[in-house]
Amino acid sequence: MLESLVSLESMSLSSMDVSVLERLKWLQQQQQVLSTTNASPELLQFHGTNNDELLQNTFSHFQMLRSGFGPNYSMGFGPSHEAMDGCISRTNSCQMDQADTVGVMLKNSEENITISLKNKRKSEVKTREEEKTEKKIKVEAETELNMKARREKISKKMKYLQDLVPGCNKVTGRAGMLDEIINYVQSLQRQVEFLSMKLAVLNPELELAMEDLSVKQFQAYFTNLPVVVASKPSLMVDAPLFPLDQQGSLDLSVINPNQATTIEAPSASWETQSQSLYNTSSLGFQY
Amino acid sequence: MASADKPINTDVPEKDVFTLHFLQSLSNLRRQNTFNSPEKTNDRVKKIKKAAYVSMARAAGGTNRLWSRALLRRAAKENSKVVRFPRRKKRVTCLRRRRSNRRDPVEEEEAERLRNLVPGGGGMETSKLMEETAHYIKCLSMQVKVMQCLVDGLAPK
Repeated sequence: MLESLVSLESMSLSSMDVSVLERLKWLQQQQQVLSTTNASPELLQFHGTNNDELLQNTFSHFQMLRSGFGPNYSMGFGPSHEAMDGCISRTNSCQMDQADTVGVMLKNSEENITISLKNKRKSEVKTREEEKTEKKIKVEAETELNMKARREKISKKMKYLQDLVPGCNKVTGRAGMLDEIINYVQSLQRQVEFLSMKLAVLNPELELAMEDLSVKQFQAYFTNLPVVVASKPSLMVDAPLFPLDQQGSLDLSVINPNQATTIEAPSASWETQSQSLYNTSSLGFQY
Repeated sequence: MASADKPINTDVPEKDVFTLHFLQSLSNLRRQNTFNSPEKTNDRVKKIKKAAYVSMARAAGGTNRLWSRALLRRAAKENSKVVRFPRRKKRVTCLRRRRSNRRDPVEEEEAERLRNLVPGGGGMETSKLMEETAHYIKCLSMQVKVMQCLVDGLAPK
């Protein structure tokens, strides 16, 4: 009888932690009450009288549990209520040994103690988990903000790149733009390779034309004039030079203002500047 | 050339600097005895290409830019030289911090390709990668112009 009662209660145990503790206390109280009465006839009487009390207490306790659960659990407790009535009727009719009841009570109390302890731990663990989840939520919020900031930064820089890469204005969307950029970088690298191949082919000419007066020869190349060793370079040397330090360090700040012009074919200003450069290198400019 | 936080600083030095560096590297190459044998054109091509990149890296930013640093380091490794860069105050190579913030799977796939292209791209955050790419593109285009001029000047007329 009590086993069935206890099993019913244990079903509800996992959800109601507080009530278990109360039940424990109540059970302990009952144990104490039972242990004090050792005489068999008293026990019998006790058994006879106390059973109803016990049952009534369990019933009241169930009612407590039931009220605590609220309407949701009323259905669940309905059948248990009937079962309890059945139990009560059964107990009244059957005759159990006192020892058995006590043993059963003890066993159940032990089980209940362990169950209550387990539930205590579960509650503690739950609070720890709750804290962890709260922390996780905070961290996630922070990372969300960081991600947003990052994305803004990256999109700003993508816009800058878009201005840089020709032909990127038509394509919209990040993927397309990145594709364009990657293609552009690859094409530039290929161009470098191609030009270096060309230079490698032309290099013997370079070698032949170049002696120790290599700088002045380059001046000739850059003005697209035929390479004449004697006359032309002298002309170029006489061309106006930019102010330079005596040590041969290059005064780049003076040269810079003319660089706004894009030079596909060498323009005049750039030629003069390159002349000045090469003059300084002939002076022994060292970087 | 320190990069400011708000405005993106991708100033590239003028063509002169590029030309100077490139020509100097070329002349250095020329001094090597085995350089102009007609059979080893491919080697020559590779050397010239490497010279171009190295001179570009030196001209463009020296050790101030990540990509130039990576380029120079790579080149020095091929020559089995040890390159030492002056220590900067700001720790540029502070990688792998806040790993979780770095990942954004949509962008990262495309950023991977960029990383493979731009030297030294593997160790950069995506935003930094963008800056370096911009500077790299500018320098590359400058180098291409310089080489084009040179080739045009040398072309037989």
